[in-house]
Amino acid sequence: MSVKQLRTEEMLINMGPQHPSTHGVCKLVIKMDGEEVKYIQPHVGFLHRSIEKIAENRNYPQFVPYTDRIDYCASMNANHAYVVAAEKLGDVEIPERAEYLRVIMAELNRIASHLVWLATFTIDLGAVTPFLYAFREREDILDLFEMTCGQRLTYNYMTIGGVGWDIPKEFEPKLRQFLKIFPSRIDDYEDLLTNNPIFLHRTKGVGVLPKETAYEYSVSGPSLRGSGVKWDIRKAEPYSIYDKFDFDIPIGTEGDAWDRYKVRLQELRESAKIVEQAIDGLPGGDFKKKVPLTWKPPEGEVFCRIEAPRGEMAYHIISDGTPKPYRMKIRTASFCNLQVLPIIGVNHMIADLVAIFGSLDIILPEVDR
Amino acid sequence: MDSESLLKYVQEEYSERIIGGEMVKGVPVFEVKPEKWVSLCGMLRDDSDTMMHSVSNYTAVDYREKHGGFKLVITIFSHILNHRLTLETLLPAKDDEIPEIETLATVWPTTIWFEREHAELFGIEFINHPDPRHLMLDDDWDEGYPMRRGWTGTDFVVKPDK
Repeated sequence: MSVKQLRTEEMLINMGPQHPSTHGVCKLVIKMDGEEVKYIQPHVGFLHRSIEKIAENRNYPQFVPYTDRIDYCASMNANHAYVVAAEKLGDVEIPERAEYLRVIMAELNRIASHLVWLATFTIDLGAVTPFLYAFREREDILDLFEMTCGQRLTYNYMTIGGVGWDIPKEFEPKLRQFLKIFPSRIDDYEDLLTNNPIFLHRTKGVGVLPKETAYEYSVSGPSLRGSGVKWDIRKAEPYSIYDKFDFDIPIGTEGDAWDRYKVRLQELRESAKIVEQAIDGLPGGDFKKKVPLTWKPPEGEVFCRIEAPRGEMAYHIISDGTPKPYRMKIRTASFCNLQVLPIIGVNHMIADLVAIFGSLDIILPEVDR
Repeated sequence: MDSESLLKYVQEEYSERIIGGEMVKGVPVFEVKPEKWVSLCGMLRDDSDTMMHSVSNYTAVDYREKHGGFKLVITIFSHILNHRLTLETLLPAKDDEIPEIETLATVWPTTIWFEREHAELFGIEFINHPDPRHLMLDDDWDEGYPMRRGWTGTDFVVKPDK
């Protein structure tokens, strides 16, 4: 076949809905010029369960298990966002021990979520080894969760008024052992990836997200910090007891996939630091305050946001004084972060599109709700 | 700017565009005239004293029984100045009416998806919207607007009150 016979028109292809590198059920309609991506249109909604509508028909305490299903990789953080908002709405004071336990669990879950991201991201790039290492450490965290609340994925741990269960006796020694080895494990990941020429080639300069684009698309979390914006809700609008802990906000410089990778790896270290401070300062006393199932917050509304592993997660709850919310809007990070993919993903090879999608750390149940 | 001074600043600078403003749980909330909705948002974004260049949350609420319409509520904030405020506007609508309002996509592109969701779930029309397709629901969905109060679809069962 001669060169003249080759087809040169743009080609339209469907990536997904069932595709391993879309991390869930997402369809990307892509216009290709040879191997180069010229146009991307994401199609979402395959996992839409209308959780916001369900919320209008559940009592406030009954809704906690649904929040687990919004972000199954970081259920503790999803629980946390909801209970903080509901407590702010009803002015519920919770015991200090519960606040500490919440922070420990939320930060451990942030580590677990970043490890899942690291594992799947490297698999997307064709490296299998880091996947096994990352899941080894995640397993330790899941064991800690399992011994506390009996679940390994959807915890239903935090309740309005505190946490569901106290930690068992064997929790603390196991956590301390984990915290002792974990920094060296992060060094292992860095040895494998950070200066690996293949990894650098696949991520440096790929999917550059300029600061201005991140602002106007309301990108949040590590993807925003990768672009050099020092913004973390734990510092900017401290909720729970985050103002008591000492930690840094890692940021990137270029805003490419490598910066987003580096920021997340740094965050692993920072989260471990917070967990260590929290377990050292863990006070005794009650771990929950009794809130009845037919709990009625006063009439009014509240908007409360927290820093989840993927970025800003917020609840806007409107109460009409009955035991069920009048309206509940759930703002999730992936919903906004996915919107920049059509902007930063074009003019790259299709293999790089997979890397960019992975580096944004999108989770689809969070987009669709 | 702290919340108190932000409330005062917006009330003074943009008094002809807002109906009222108050402090709700430490955050300034303003009721905006629907016809000034887009222009006020644009001004708050470009004003060097507010710099509201990001959207934290954007939602619609069905208040047809209480206030006779739908409310759009947007929470905007500034990364640089670390402050946020909430704007609300009431779109009058009765029963099955579909209210209309100019799109905010020209101010913050992130609102494109939020508005697609409001359009299909609440039945609000956004004029000049760049991408008016369904976001969550099927393209051929014809069972009404699910997030409206009192909607009952084919499979949707409301739990009886105890």
